[in-house]
Amino acid sequence: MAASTKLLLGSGLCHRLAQLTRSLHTQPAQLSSFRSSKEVQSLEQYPEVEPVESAAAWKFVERLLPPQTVPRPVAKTDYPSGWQPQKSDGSESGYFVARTKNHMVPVYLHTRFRGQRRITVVRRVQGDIWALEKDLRAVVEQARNGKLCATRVNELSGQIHIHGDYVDVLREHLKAKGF
Amino acid sequence: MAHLRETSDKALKLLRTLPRVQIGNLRPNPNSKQNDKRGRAQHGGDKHGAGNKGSGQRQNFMRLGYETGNQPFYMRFPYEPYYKGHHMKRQYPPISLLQLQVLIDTNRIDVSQPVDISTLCNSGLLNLKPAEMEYGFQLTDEGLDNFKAKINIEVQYANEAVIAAIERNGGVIRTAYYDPRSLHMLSNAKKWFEKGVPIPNRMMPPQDALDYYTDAKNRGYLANPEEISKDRLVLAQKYGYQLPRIEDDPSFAMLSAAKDPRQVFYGLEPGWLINVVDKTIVKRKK
Repeated sequence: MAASTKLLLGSGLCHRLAQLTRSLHTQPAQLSSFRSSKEVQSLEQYPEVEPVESAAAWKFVERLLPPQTVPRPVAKTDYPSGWQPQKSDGSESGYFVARTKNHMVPVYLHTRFRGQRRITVVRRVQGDIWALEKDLRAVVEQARNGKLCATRVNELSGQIHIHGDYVDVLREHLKAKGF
Repeated sequence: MAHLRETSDKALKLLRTLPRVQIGNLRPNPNSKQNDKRGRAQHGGDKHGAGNKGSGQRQNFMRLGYETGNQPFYMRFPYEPYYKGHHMKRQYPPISLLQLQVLIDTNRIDVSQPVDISTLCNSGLLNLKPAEMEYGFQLTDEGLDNFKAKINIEVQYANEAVIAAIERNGGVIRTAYYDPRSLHMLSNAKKWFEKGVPIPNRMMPPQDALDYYTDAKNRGYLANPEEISKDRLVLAQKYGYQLPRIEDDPSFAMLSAAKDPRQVFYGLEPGWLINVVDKTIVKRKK
């Protein structure tokens, strides 16, 4: 950190900082409101300007422009957050759960009736949706100590609705299967 | 994945044998449209759930807190100080270290550059509303143990554990104040550049925020850099980790990059005008 101090000292920022903080503690209203800035004067008083093309600072502008599309994840050795890229294409299981445009697993919680009814929804299912429903139901029944669980399958829109809040359980299960 | 899309293929196959779908033979699903008319008298008229007589039937919804003639609860006590000035208080919407790590893992944030409000807003997953008294982001300690990124981040509020989590990985954290106008510029920089206005100076913090941002313990942007480097060591000893030497780091230039206290954007000086269409910067003539 000492070197960064040196860097700051080199650019005069340290000195400026000291000046600024001193003036702030003595003059409270200074520089803290746009009302304290001067009104526009006649144009002759201002310095002349010129447009600079391909300026060295343009890279700082480019950094501020947002990407047009969602960036693709880069392959890494490990992902500390627990997120992981999709690995399976569903050829061995017969079904496929596509990722969302934000590269997340499409498992959601729908709450209705002021939070009284909680339904876990798995979306973007392709292929044999009934096989997936059977697998997911086994996972949920294990999570609730062998008690039965109610499900509903919408084959056309590729969605499975599961009674109860099992979002974390199902998301982890799907991630473990590579989806 | 073609072999897995049997259902949609079947539906499309069925559709090919059916007459052409056009506006003339389409109709809404049964019961999908709700009639917003309330019939009267013989046209299906009854109470319609509004009950008999009184403000219920007349749908005379009373104003909030009105107790039909009683002295209302909110006026019963002459002095309620808890919410005094609540509409003036600065809000700092939270982002957790876990969220930040997810953004990094999914390539929404480039950690090879310094991270500030504009980087977070440009990810498209976070937004800031300066008009609703939101003065920037606070970094919270959820997912602190799994945070592994080496970043140079600037937030508006962070507690001690978060600072330690960032510095343990060889990163740099700074807390900085932005006035609402600068926040507006940072939250959507492209849109602001399109206005074609010179970049203004960033304002200094108000008096009640000054102590926070001049304190080295908070890594304030107005604190003495020497005190900050001392406090980095103190924190490392307190939390029991070896402080990585950022001076020896190959990305030292990125890690030590800092804005001037009067500067809004990295590398762009106040007074410059950015032309996004022509890709030029309008500067003072030398």
